Amino acid sequence: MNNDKIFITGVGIISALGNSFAETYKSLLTNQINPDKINFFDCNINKPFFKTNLTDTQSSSQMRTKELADIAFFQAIDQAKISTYSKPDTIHRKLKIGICCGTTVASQLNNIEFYKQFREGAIKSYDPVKQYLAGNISESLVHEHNFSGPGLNVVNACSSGSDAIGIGMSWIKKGICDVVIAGGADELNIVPIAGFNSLGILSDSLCKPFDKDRDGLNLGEGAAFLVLEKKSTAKIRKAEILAECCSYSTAADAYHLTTPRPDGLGLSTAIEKALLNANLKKEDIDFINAHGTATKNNDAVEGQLFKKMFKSNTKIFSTKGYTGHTLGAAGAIDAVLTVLSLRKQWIPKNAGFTNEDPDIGFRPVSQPTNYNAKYALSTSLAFGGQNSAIIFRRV
Amino acid sequence: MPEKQTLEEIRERLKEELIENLSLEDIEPKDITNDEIIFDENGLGLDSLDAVEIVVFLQRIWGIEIKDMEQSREILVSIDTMANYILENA
Repeated sequence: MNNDKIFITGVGIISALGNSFAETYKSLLTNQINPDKINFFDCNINKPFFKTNLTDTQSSSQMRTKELADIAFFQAIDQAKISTYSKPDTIHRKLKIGICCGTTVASQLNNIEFYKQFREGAIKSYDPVKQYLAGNISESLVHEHNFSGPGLNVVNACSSGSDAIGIGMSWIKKGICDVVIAGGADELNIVPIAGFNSLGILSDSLCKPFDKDRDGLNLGEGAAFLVLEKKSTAKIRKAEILAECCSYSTAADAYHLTTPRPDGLGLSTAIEKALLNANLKKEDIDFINAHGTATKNNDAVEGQLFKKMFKSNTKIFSTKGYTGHTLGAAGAIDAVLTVLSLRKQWIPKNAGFTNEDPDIGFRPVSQPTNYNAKYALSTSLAFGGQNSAIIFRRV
Repeated sequence: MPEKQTLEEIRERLKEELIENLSLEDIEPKDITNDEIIFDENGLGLDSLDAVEIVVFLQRIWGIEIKDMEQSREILVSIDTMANYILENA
């Protein structure tokens, strides 16, 4: 059985918390919360956003999402000691390496300029087409690094990052890949900003996950990747094992386009299947890195389910008060922060939380907390009623 | 910020802070030598996340700001390299 286990040997992250794993940890230790305004395109929606410090290159063929993905991707492969294209004789040539990336903006929304030109009756240049091709992040990364495995983008709204990790795990289990670099990336883009604004769920202030007075989410941007593999391949490269990626599961509510099913049946099904796949009981979960977007509906459904399902001393936390909701990157960013939490046996405070919601009935981690945890759960809920759960183990 | 400390006082405080902040078990200040490479497997065996915690407590206690990882690689080598940097810059 031990041979089937999948481990994490590299992580990379960029978000409003910083441009690396270490910077992210430093920002969390010093409680840095840095909302900002959008300055890289015209945006008259004056809400707080969580953007990275990536400057706008205004590149016509390179998407901002791909630039974010590149930063996190390089960190992850560097930590996992996977060579890049410039060293063709190295060990990774012999490994089948696949890439699976969750996103929302890169694949479906990257051709705004093309649509604009099309509606105006003339395609003025091939730049939008080039951008469309570059918008396939995984395919681009596979080619750029000359990897031999598959490249797949997962566009499954806000659970995309978690689902990409789950699909990556399945590739290893089925023998399709030796190593999978899985994660997610999304930029702050006018289309989701306008969409979320129209839905009336963007908060005017900093978001307050699980708080009684929460009034909506803040959007953010970022990217994160995890290198997944079995111990046998990690050993060849002398890559350090950071954590075990125990199991993944997903289940759909089939309830509403944007609202999660109130009784949380889809989410509980995903969690129970993930526990079953990992041969664990719900009492084994010490820490939950919740989706926790700070919308009324999301936090009520998640919170009430966690209260009902898990032991009372389970630590619950949402990253969104630090990173905003990074959509297709969120599940991957949460995964990297869960690995960080397990490694340091430490949880930052749930930024934005002040008052307990009686309809939820628990307090998330309200102060930085040292703890003793073996297993952690990360949940992602998406429009369309998708619910995904990943379980991690400290090593 | 504490009053101007001697090199020896800074070394001792550094060792105490390392043990406390990084939860180093079964290690006492006297077990850490001044020139020991702290990130060496044969030394304290610290990792990059521990380095972040050191950067944070150097700033909290001595007001030392280390801006990037490149700079931290030169300073966070041993008790002596850190203590000398603090002595000169705090």
